[in-house]
Amino acid sequence: MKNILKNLYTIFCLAALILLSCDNPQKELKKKLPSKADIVSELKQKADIVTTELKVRKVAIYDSSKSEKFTWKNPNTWKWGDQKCIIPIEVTLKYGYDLRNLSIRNVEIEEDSSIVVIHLPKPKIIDAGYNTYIDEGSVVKMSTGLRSEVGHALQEEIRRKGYEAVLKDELISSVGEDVKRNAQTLFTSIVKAMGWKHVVVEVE
Amino acid sequence: MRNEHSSNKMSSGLQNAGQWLHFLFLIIIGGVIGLAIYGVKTWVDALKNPQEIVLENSPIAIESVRPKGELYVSSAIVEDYVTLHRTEKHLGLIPEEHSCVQILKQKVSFKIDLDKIVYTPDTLNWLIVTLPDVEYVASTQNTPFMSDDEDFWEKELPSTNGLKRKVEQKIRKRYDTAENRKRANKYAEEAVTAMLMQMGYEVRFTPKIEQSKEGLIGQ
Repeated sequence: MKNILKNLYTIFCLAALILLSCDNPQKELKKKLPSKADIVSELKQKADIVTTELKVRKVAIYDSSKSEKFTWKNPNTWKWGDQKCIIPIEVTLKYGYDLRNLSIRNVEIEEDSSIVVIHLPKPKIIDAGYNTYIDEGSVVKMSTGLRSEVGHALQEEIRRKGYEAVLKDELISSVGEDVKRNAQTLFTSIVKAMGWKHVVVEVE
Repeated sequence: MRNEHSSNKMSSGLQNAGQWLHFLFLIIIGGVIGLAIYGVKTWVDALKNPQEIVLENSPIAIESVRPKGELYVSSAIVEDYVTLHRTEKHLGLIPEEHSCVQILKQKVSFKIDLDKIVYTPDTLNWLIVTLPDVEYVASTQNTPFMSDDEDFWEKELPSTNGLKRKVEQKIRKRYDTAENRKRANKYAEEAVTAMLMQMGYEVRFTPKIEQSKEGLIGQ
């Protein structure tokens, strides 16, 4: 009896030793933090003019039952239950031009009438971002079976994916005319404020 | 006698070897059980965390398109974070430490409002330009949250907005400084000068009054 107890005790100690040495969630957490180089980044000089601000709303919908397919070969897919989450995201995009790519020609026609011609390149996204704070009241989340609740990490990942989906979408094709028109209005008003009578803004 | 002594020696040797084998066997069994428990734990963790998130296709609604007149003179992509620690008491006695991290990735920029620039013609080809003060602006591009136990933090922290606010303030404190604003003003003058020189102008800027610890001094 004593020997049996002794053996069981030895087995238990060895099993616990292996289990404890295999996993350390705190260490894993520390490895994923941004490095010092990411935190301390220098401000770089820019010369970008923003002519149009676009506000966009996307509802990010995640349903694990549609993206996670069960296969015998992959134990990671052996899950009982689903997770679903709906989060609205507000994305702000600012379109404009790099002043360093701008070309301005001064064309004089008559002594009392002069024209400035401005050639604008294609507009690009100067600044983009989404709402930092979550309105908890607008988030819908549910989980079934053995699945855990939809936590903060998953919600943030869903928001990030939604933001990337907005960036990938070619929104400039829908608002290109507005961007062009706003650029023409802006440059015309700037140049006329300097005393010029006529401005021609040409866009690529 | 000698034969008895040598056979006793042999049997005790065999006994020792048997004990070592026994001990080795226990180590192997213990190792297998430990690995089996670890395997089950990994599988249970995998149940909690999805491998890859794929969103459903949903439409993008354009809410507003507004004209703007801003000149971005400097920017940087920054990541910073705050951590939070809590102790959970199992059965009111056994403590377990928990940690979480809220990271924020932002594009921080300094800009000037072009509508507020004042141009005053001086002589034929000279312009006196008065620039407005630069403004600090931050756009959020990622907000990852990490923790050692998602279920615990979901209950303990209903909203991460407080943590995000702290990181935002941390980033702002680091970048929205008098020195960076001074540098941004210099970049703004360079950008406006380059644009106006293309139109054949020479440019002079109205000096800014700089506040110092001793009082107001001209720059």
